[in-house]
Amino acid sequence: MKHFSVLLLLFGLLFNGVAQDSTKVRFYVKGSSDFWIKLDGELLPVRNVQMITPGLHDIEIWSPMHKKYKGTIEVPVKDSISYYQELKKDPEYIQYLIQTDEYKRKVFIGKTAPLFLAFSGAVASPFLHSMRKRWHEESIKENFKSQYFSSNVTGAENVTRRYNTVNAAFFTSLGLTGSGLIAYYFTRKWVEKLDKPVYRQQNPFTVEMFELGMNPVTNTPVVGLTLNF
Amino acid sequence: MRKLLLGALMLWMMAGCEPQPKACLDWGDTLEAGTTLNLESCSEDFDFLTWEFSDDRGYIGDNVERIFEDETSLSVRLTAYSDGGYRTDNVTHEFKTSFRYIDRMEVIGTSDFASFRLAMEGGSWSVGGAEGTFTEEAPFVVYVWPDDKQVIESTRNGGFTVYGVRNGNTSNLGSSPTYNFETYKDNPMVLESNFGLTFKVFWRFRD
Repeated sequence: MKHFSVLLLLFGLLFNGVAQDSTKVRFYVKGSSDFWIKLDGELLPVRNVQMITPGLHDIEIWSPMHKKYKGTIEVPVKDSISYYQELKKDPEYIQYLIQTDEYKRKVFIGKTAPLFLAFSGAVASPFLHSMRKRWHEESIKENFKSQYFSSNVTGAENVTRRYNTVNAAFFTSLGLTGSGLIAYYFTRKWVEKLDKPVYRQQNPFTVEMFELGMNPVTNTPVVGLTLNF
Repeated sequence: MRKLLLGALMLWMMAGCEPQPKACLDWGDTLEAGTTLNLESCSEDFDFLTWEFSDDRGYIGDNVERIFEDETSLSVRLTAYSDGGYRTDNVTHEFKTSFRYIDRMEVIGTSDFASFRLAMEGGSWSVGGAEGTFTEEAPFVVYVWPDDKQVIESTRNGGFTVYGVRNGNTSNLGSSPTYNFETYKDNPMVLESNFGLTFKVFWRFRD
């Protein structure tokens, strides 16, 4: 809604402020695809091609999560020029990203990983237990057969080997469940106390006009908003 | 998440609860030799059974079908396994095998035969004075005697035959050429002949 209102505002400005003897300036702003340009204190329409009168102008470019750029632009009398500008990331935002990574890592270690291990073990253990039972039964029968009436000793050994593998997997799953739950029990307080990092955008916009109303056709509330920075 | 873990734990516990099996054999002390036996157990709460006989024969199954060829003393170890085989119970039962030995034959009915003859592999016993009417209370008796040494191992050779002798002619009185011990298991074996006579054959195992 905010963007939409800004767009409405910028379209309004577009139809009022384009001079005929102007130069087409193509803006290439490195760092973000969404940016706002303020030229000589006036907000330009949101697009990367602008028609600007030749001469020296004060320019401000802002993009979310970036520091606002302030400088000047010399526009020559030409058909078109290109203007390159790199916006630097807001240091607070970089700090926020680092803190977020750290926070996620701690949550993963203290909550996600233990619960995932416990859950995986808990889900796998019934199936492994079922397989373990089956192979244990098979190993008993095969060993019995090889003892009394079957010469297939290799078959019995294979079955026993399979049973041992499944058995080991079963106890591993139990271990995962137990260790995951224990780890979570000890780390959950620590995780609960962690503060999730918050990034407060230094928004250069100011609300110039704010109006509430009702759309008579759709009978829904509407907001009118004018922003500037 | 907690409910999920709890559910998985309960599922696992349910899967792990197997009843304790109980191995049981309720045979007598003697099993018949020379015939196909279907040996069953009275075990409970088992998933499968193993049978280990002292003559080095092993079987897996709820029951065992086998023939004991000779008279001998044996034992069987029956092991009952729960589902998965983690819980077991076993019982060892000692028994002997014996052929069936015929003690005597009682004839009931009205007979015009001069004598009856009980024939088996290894010998026959004939008793005269068989004419007359014989009842349950006062049957005509053919003894296999005088002692155990003369008793014939009937089962091994399939059975026995009853003959009646009349006017010098010998008639086979069985409904078939021989009474087969595979078919008749009761003691006494009650056999109906084609001549309106009933034969009761009493038998025993070797002591």
